[in-house]
Amino acid sequence: MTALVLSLLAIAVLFGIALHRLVPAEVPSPTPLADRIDALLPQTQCGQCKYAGCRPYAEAIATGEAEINRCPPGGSAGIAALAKLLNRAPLPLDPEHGVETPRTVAVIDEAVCIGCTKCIQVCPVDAILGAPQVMHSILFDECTGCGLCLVPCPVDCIALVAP
Amino acid sequence: MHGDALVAAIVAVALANRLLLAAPGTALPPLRAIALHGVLAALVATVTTLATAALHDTLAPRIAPYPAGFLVVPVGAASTALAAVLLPRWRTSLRDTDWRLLGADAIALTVIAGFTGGDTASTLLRGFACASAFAFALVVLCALERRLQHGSIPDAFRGLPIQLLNAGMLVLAGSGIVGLFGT
Repeated sequence: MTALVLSLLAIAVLFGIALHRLVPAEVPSPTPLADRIDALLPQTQCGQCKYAGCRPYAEAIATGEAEINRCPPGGSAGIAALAKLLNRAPLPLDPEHGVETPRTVAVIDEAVCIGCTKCIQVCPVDAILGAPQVMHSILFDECTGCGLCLVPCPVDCIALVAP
Repeated sequence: MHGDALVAAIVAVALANRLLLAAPGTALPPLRAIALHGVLAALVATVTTLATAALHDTLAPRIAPYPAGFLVVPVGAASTALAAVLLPRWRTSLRDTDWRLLGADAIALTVIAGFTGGDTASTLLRGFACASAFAFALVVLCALERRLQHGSIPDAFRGLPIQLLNAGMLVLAGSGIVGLFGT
């Protein structure tokens, strides 16, 4: 019995060594730069950077097409994080793209809402619930406070408030 | 199977593997990939030999009138399936391995090594020795072929004939070594 166990152990070790040497370890592919930049953006999808959303802006930064100071929701902290990732000097927020403000969420005045659905159509994160001629509501956990729903509202029933 | 016949059978299995891994005249896989194939085949064959011997000893009173060889096929298939499930979890690159060929190798090598008679430890060592010899023969065959690739081989010998000659030389060398030990 001892001979069998010792033989098994020796054979297992030999196969283990051989396979370990012959099969190269899989090195995980490095995360693409655009993914790492996107992870640092606030995901408000507000479009203040003049791109369709955070992902396109991240890709533009990765290719060198856009500067890192176009994101007001991310603010100076976001710019500092991007600068650290890209090993660049931080830049002041470009005022052409907006100013840094505290985080807000949208609130619908239900007494005034006429159920036109225009705000639903522009919300980039699907944070507004509702249907035609039915009162709309905001999902506060989803709302990023981008403010895109304010402009199309025909009765001005949406306001941005502190969460 | 003993002595010269054992050597010849192992080299024949190695040659068949060489021909199945890449047709004569086509590019040979890297030597590392061939060595990996040999080691995997040796691993599955050793497990198959041990498992078949254990199953044979367990069932011996019931299957005594029948040839024991029929046990090898299901056990070989099961061992290969187990390896095909477990090893790719360790390294996903092993998913592309030709497991069917490895299963056939395991069955052939188990039959060549034999799994009846003797205690389990000696059966295990015999199976391991045969499987290792197979892996060694496969690597040597491919390394020889690679060395001869750029040599001045007559056209008539290119492809399969030179491989048969290599295999013949390997059998002669193996038989000589076996002769040293007198078995």
